[in-house]
Amino acid sequence: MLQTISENAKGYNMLKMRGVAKSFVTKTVETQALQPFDLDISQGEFVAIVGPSGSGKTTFLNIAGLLEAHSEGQYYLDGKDITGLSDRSKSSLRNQKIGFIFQSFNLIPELNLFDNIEMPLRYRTFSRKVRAQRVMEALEKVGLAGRKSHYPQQLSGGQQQRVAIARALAGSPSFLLADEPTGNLDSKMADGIMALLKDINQQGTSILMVTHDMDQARQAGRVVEIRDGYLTEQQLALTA
Amino acid sequence: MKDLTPILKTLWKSKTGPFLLVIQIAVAFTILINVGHMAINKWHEINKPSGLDEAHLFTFTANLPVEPDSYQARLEQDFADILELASVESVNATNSVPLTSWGLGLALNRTESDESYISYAGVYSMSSNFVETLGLEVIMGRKFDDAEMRLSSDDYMIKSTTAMVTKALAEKISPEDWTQTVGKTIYINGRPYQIVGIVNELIATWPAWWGNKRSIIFPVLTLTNESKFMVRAHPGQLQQAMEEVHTLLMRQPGRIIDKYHPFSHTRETGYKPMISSLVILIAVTIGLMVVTMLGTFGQARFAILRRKRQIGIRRALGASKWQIVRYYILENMVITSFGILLGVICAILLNVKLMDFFDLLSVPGEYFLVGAAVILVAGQFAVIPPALSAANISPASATRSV
Repeated sequence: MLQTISENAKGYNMLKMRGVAKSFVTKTVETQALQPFDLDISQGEFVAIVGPSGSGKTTFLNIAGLLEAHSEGQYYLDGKDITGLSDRSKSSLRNQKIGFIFQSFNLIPELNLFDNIEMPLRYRTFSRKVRAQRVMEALEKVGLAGRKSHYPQQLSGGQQQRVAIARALAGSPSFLLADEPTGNLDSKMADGIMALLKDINQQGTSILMVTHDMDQARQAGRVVEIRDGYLTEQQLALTA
Repeated sequence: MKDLTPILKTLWKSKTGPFLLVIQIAVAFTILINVGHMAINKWHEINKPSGLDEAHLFTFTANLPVEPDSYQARLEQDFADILELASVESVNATNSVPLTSWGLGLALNRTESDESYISYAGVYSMSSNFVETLGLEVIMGRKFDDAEMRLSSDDYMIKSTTAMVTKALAEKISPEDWTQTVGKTIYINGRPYQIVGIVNELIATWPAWWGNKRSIIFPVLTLTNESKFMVRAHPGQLQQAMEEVHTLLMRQPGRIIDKYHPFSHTRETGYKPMISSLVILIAVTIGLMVVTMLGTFGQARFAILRRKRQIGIRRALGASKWQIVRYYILENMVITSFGILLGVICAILLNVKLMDFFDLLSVPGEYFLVGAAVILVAGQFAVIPPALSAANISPASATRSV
C-alpha cells in the first residue's frame, strides 16, 4: 500500500518523496523499516514527525538528511533527484542544503563555539572573511555572539543546542532537520529552543523536526506520524 | 589546508597522546639519522677499494724447510718455480697480508722528534714484484729499483732507506699538495726514509681501522722461517693456479702450507665482524621504523576510535570521505613534523656527543632531509589504513544515541 501525504503546500516543493521505502537485509532476514510512502514538504513549512521509539523516525530522518540511502523510490531535494548520487555529491548536498540539529547537540568538544560553527563552512569554498561573517551572524541569531571563544562544556544544554542551531543556520540551508532537539533539555530550555525554531521558520526556513513531545509537535504546522514503518498525516486540532 | 587551524587547536586541547607520539618520532628520527649515518659509513668502509687485483689473487703462508742461512736461496727458488707455472702471472712475499688484521703500524714524523707527528700508517715490507703481484697503481714517482729490493735476515727497518706511500698517506705528509710528497723525507723512530713513489691505494691490514687507507711500503723483506706469499693468477686461472702452486710447493720435503685462500675469502673473513654489526644496525633501524609506524598507526587508530562519533558528525555536516582522509593525513603530518623538528635538534646534539666519544664525522645535511622524508612517508603509510576506515564511518552514526 502506497501512502500519499501531500497537502497544504505553501509553495515550492523543498522535499519530494515518491514511493520511498527502506529495508534492511541481513543474512537471514529482511526487515522493512519504512513502508513505501509519498511525501511533499514545501518551502517555509514546519513539519513535526512523531511516533513511538523504534517506529522508524530516525530512519526517516536519516533518509531525508541523506545520511542513509533509501532502498526504493525517488527522492527529490530542492528539485534534484538524489537517487544514485555519489557519496561526494550527497556530502555536498548535505553541507549546502540541510542544517542538522541533533538531540545530543553533537558539538566538537575540542573546538570553541566559533570553530564549531565554522566547521561545516570549511567544507565549502567560502573565504575566511565570509566564514567569519556567517559565523558571527549565526551566533547573533541565537544570542551567543559574546561567547564565541567559549568551549561547549562551558555552556548549559540549552546554550549548546543554540550553538548547534547556529551551526545549522550558518550555511544558509534549504531546510533544517531537527532530531529531538529538546530531548536532552529541561522544559524551560526546551521552550526557548522551540521559540527559536519557530522564529527561524517564520523567517522562511523549512523545518523537519522529529519529536516525542506532542505539545511541541502541535506547535509545528503539520504533523506526520510514523508507526511500525507507516507514515500517516495527523489532523491535529489547532492550539489556541 | 583549511583543516590546519582546527587540527592544531584540537591537538592542543588534548595533547598528551600526540605529544607522546611526537617524542617517539623524535627519538626514532634521532636514532635513524645517527645509526643511518654510522651504517652508511660502515658500508663505505666495507666496500672501500683495497687497491689490490682481488679477483686474481690468492695468499698463503709456507715455511722454508731449510737452515736459516739457506732461507734466501730457498725463497728465490720458490719464486722461480712458481713463476714457471703457466697459470701464474706474478708472486711475492710480504710481512703481512692486507685485511688479515695481522701486521705492524708505525707513527710517521716530519723530523727525528716524535713531536713532529704526521700520521699513523700500516707498514708493509715486501719482496720485489709486489706492484705487479698486488696489481697496485703507481701514480707518482717510481717503483723500487732492483738495487733497493732486498731479502735480508736483518730487520727491514734498519736496511731500508726508501719507502713508497699510498696517496692517502701522501695527503697527510703534504696536506697542502700531496703531489709534492715524492722526494720528501719522513722519520720513523728517528730514522729517515725518503719517499720515492706513491701508489693510489693499498689498504692496511686492519679492516676496522678507519685510517686503513694510509700505508707505507719498504723494499726489504725480512727472512723468517715462515713466509707469507701472495700470488696473482692469469685471468680465469685462479683455481688452476691455486692447485698447481700447492702441488709444486708440497714437493719440497718438510713443507707446511697454511691459510691457503683466494683473496675473496680474506676480504670476507676480514670484514665479517663489520658486516655483522652493519646487519645489526640495519635491523635495529628497520625495527625502530616499524615500531614508530606501529605507534603512528596505533595513535591514529585510537584517535579515530575515540572520535568515531565526531567523524560521523563531520560526515553528516558535509565532509566527504576524502575530506575525512585528508584531515587525518594532515593531522599526522603535523604531528610527524613536530617530531622531526624535535628529532633534528636531538640528532644534532647526539651527533656532537658521538663525534666526541667515537671520533665520528658530523652527519651531513642531506641525511636530515632524507630522514625527514622517510619518517614522513612511513607516517603516511601508517595513517592511511585508519584514515580510510574513518572515512567509512557512516554519517548516520551522528543521529544514533550516545
